[in-house]
Amino acid sequence: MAAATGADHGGGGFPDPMHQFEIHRLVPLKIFNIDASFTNSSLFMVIVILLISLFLFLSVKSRSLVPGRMQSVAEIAYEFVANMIRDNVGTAGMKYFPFIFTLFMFVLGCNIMGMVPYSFTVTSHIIITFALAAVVFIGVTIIGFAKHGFSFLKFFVPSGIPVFLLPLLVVIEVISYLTRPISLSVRLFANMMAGHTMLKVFGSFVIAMGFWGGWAPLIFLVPFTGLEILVAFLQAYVFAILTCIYLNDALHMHH
Amino acid sequence: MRDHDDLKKRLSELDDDIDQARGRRTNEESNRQRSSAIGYAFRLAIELVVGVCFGGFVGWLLDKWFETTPIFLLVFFILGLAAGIMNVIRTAHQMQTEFSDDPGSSETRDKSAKRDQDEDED
Repeated sequence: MAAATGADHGGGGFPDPMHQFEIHRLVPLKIFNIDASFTNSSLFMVIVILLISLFLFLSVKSRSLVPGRMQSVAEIAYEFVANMIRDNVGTAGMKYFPFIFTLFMFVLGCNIMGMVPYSFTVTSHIIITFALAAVVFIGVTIIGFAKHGFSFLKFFVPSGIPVFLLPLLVVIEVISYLTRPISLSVRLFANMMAGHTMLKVFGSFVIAMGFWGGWAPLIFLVPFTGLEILVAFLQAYVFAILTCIYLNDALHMHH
Repeated sequence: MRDHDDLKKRLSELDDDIDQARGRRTNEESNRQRSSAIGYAFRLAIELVVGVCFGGFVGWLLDKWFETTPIFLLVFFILGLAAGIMNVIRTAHQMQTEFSDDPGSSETRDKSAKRDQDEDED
């Protein structure tokens, strides 16, 4: 949530910087004893998906040869992701363009949506980012096995290593492979959560220091909000590019 | 003949201008890259921490299963550390190649061309 949300107070009268991450059940729902309630997080995911779909649908609707403003933005997004895949995976990766484009737009949409005051940052919860990363990880592993069969396991055997070191290094390689979804999800979640907590803390300083003292943190907050928008783009980019790199490993099997 | 020399002079001046503009642009690009240095630092730090934590977690889980506390925890903690360091080195390598070839340089083009070749062989 962005700067000027000092309104929601936690206990003790001070604004609670973690209050923004709370999950509320909007429509309680239980399926086979699993809590599948429609929460504020789900609501904002739906909003983000609707906004992205609406934006992409409307902006390319005219299909003019000379693109207007909106169409340019949509085309830039397309070109950006397409170039990313071509540079990192090669033309063989273009088969997976729809998935990576969707992933990129969703993460970017959630990050940017979080910058709107009073909104909820979906990507600031590790379970969301971990679910995304797990889909990438499992999908990429399946692609690797489907493409190379059992010789995909050679991916974990580094070349040019003395035989007695092999068992140790294979274990290390496997651990390093298994940490991929965790580092992918922790990076996105930690960046979003840290940034938004900082914004909230400094926002509460503005309120606490009153009319005369509050200007100092406010002046800091303005560039910091800009930085947060940059981080929102950067993290979506990093998430997409790492997906490309993992896909490249699965398709071509060289480090 | 004078016209010809004049034209040549103007052409070389234009070349200089273009070179200068190119230099400016690459400078701007490297500035922009430097501004995301904190992102790079964060990436490396997380890579290491996640490696250690994951190794420790797996070890703890195995210990719980086999009731052999703390053997697996210690072993996998070290292995996780090794994996984390390896990940950091790999990420750093990757960043180095990202830094060394600016977008659109001959090296990147060669690389993607090579990749395309690889695919043809597959």
